[in-house]
Parts: sequence; structure tokens; C-alpha cells
Amino acid sequence: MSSAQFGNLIQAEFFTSTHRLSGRVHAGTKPLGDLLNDHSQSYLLVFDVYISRLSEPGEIVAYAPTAFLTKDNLSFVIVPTRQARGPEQGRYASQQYKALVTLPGVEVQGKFAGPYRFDIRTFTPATLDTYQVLFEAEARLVSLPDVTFSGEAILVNRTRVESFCLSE
Amino acid sequence: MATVLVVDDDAALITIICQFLENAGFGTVWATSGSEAMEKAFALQPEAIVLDIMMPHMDGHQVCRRLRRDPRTARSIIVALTARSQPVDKITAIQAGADAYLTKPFQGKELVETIQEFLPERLAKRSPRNGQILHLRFKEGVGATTLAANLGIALADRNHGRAVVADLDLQKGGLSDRLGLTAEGSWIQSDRITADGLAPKLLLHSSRLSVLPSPRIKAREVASAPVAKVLEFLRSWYDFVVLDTPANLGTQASAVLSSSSLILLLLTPEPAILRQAQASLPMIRQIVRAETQIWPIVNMAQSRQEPFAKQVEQVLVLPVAAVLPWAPQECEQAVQTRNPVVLSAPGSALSAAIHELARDIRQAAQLVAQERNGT
Repeated sequence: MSSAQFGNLIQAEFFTSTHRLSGRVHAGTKPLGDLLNDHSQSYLLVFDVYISRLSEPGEIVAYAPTAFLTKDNLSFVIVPTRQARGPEQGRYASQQYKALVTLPGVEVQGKFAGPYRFDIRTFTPATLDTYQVLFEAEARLVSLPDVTFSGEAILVNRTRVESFCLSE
Repeated sequence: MATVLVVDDDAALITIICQFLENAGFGTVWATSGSEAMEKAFALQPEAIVLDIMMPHMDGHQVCRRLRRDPRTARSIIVALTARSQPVDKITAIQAGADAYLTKPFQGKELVETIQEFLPERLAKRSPRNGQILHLRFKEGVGATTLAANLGIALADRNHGRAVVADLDLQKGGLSDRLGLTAEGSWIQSDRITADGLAPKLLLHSSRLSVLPSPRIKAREVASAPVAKVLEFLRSWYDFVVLDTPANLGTQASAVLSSSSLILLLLTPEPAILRQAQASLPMIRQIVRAETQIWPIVNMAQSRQEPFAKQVEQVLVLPVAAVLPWAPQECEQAVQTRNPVVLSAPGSALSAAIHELARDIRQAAQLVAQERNGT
């Protein structure tokens, strides 16, 4: 498992273009996906944060009891499945698609749920939630292709997406 | 009963883990920070350590590396425990020295089984072979330090044991320089030698060989008691303790001779040295223990069929254990690059001869251990 739930604290992994941050979020009764897609708050408060550089992603370089993460600047977030589902998935999910998404310095592969007649042109940040869920997903660093991060679900920041490729 | 040190900054989780382990028959101690963990680990030398990676101030990787470097905990089983579960996290933990890696949340049974899997092998390795090897030379410049460094590396083989070379030229020993290691501070601070004071002074070479550098003290004479205590600690931590001593042992003669299980008489092809060895041998035999073996070694030999080796056997009435060839180019290169011959010229005849000698020493130590255990 990539993440674990501690009471109402959700353990998750946050990735920027340069750093990996492992920490816990008070999500209350909402899934973490909802908090990330909540536009009324631009920051996410995270506790017990262990920080690694993506150049050495296993090494912990710093610890912070609390940290504010700017949602717009996160590339992707690895979470347990039940923390990924936002309202969007409830409305449209009916068929699974495979996708390869490129972000600055990272490739993410996984599955996502969409309507039967999915039109990739509708896949824009303006029309949907900011964070797109990819299930059974794996992220690979372009600079260190042997290093992968996998999880039940990866929430990809659509505003950071460079290309979104649908596969069979 | 094997003792497990449980290290986690979450006290509630410590309680649960300790309960699992105690139910499985282990004794437990615990620590809630990296610094407390090291303090307890060095003092208690537990058989196993369950180590949380994500801890504030000093993370588990840092703790793991320091535990592995220290001879008191180098053989403990270390199980890394963390909520970070990516492949790179496992690789990082193993590279830091962990034996196994478990992801939170984990099953108590899984943790117990992991420790039990490593326990028999580790317990067997925790009984040092008490192999203290003294290089006895009768004059300077016969290649004793070169042999000590190379033999130490050959003995520090991953599959065969742990080795340390102690530079007992207390005033001006240069073994650490020879290996490109930098010594910090002296291990002779007072007459009282403690494990806590000694262990941090040991240097670790990339070959896995540990080195106790010369303290480089100004006093001409040092009492033998501190040196004897140091050797006692080293013998309890390592399978092989190689002593690099000056030609004149001075006040240390009794301490080093009486505690060594093997004495290598280092002889270069010179009649004067052979005469000196012949004269010294009865005195050496008076000091050493009855079971101590004495092996003459011919160093800097011009050829493998060295006539000098035959002379040595006739005069000392001891078989020559090794004839080490004269290899000035390889030795010169090794000194310049600070990389001993067994590493810088592994295919050389000298390297082969040193490995052969190391193999013989390991076999002899094994025989002694079998006799001691009655097997």
C-alpha cells in the first residue's frame, strides 16, 4: 500500500516538480480528493512532513511538524483509493480508460473512469475538477527512470499536465 | 532470550510492537528517538532492532548507518519500519544497512517471522573467533604495514567475517594515511578505556575493513593496561584483529604477545634478520600462550622458490606459511593511490599470495573454534 489511514489523519505522498513530501492530512469526513479540488482554499495543511529531493527520493532531507502546500504547485498526490474519489467520478464514471500523462519531469500511467463517449477535448481544467484521478497508477521520474512511485490512486494536477495520452 | 530494541516516535505503536514480540518470546527495550536508540543500542547490543524510518531530528536511515558502522551493533538484525512504501524507500533502507523492510500498517506475525528468519545466522556470527594476529617484525621497512592493510582487507570478506587492523605504532603509525582514512582524535585520552570512547574512533574503509588508527601520542612510553583493554574490546567485536606494531614493542610486548592467537614473523631475505628471529624465538615462546601459533612469513621474495624460505625453516624449525613476492611497482602504486594491492592490483602474484595466507588463517581459526567447541 502506498498510503495508510491513521484515524482521521490520511497519510499521503505529495510531489512537486522538485520534491517529495510524505505527510498526514486532517481530511475529516471528506476524501482527500475533495480537499484538493476545493477552490475556496489554495493551501493544504499537512502534518508530520518528511521531505525528500526528487534527485534522491528515498533520502529524508528535512522534517517539519506542519507545512502548507500550495495546491496549484503540486504535480501529483498518491492516496488510498477511497481518498481519491471526488464528486466528478460519481457523476461520470462508467467506463475505464488507460492514460499516460506527462507532467514536468514525470510520467504517470494509470486508469481513469469516464463516460462511454469520452471526448478528450473536454478534458480541460476549466470544465472539470483540478485533480484527475488515475487508479492503479505509476509515476516515473524522467531524470531517474528506474525510480517509480505507485499507488492505488494518483491524483494528477491537471493544470500541470503537458500531455494527456489515451491508450487502448 | 534474544533482545529486540523497538525504535519509533509513536509511543502507542511501540506498545503494540513490544506486545507482539514479547508474546513471541523476545525481550524488548524501546526508544522514541534516534539518539536514544543509539545510546541504548550501543549499551545493550540487542540481537535485533526494529527501526522506524520517519522520525523527527534524526531519521531512521541516519540511525541505521551509524549502527552499522559501530562494531557493537554491526551484527544486530535491523528491520526498517515505515509508512513510506515505494520501491526506492526499500532500496534506500537496505543501502543504509537494514536487513529487512516492512511497511506500516504491518502484521505482527510478519515482523516476528522476519526477525526469526535472520536470527540463527546472526547469532552464529555474533560469537567472534577471537583471532588476534600479530605481525612481528625485527626492523622497520620490511613491509609490515603494507601486509597488515592487505591482509586485513582479505580477511574482511563479506562471507567470512569482520576484521579490524589496529595501528599500535602509538607515536607515528601511518596505517590510516595508507588507506586514505582520516583519524579524528586519539583513543588514548586516559587510562580508562571504554567501549563508548573507543568505538567512535574506529574508521571504516570501503572494503569493509575497520581501522583503529594510531593515537599519535607524544609520550614515548604508554602503559600496557589501556592497550590490553583496547585489544579486549576489539577481540569481542571482530572475528580477526590484525595488529600492526613497530619493530620495538617496548612496554606493549607482553600485552600484545600474550593475547595473540597467531604471530606472523615477518622476515625479509636478510641473514641478519633471520639471526635476530632465531635469537628472539625462545623469548617469544616464553610470553605467548601454549596454543599460540607462530608462522614465519618471507616477504619481498625475489622468486617463489626462495632459498631463503628453506633456510628459515631449517633455522627456526617452523614451516614457512607464506612467501610474498617482491612487487615494487604494485606497492608503489598502492601507496600513491592509497589503495592497497589486493584492491588496486587484484590479479597480481602478491595479491594472490595474500589471499592464500588469509584463507589459511581462516582455516586455522576455524579449526581452533571447532576444537574449542568439541566438534
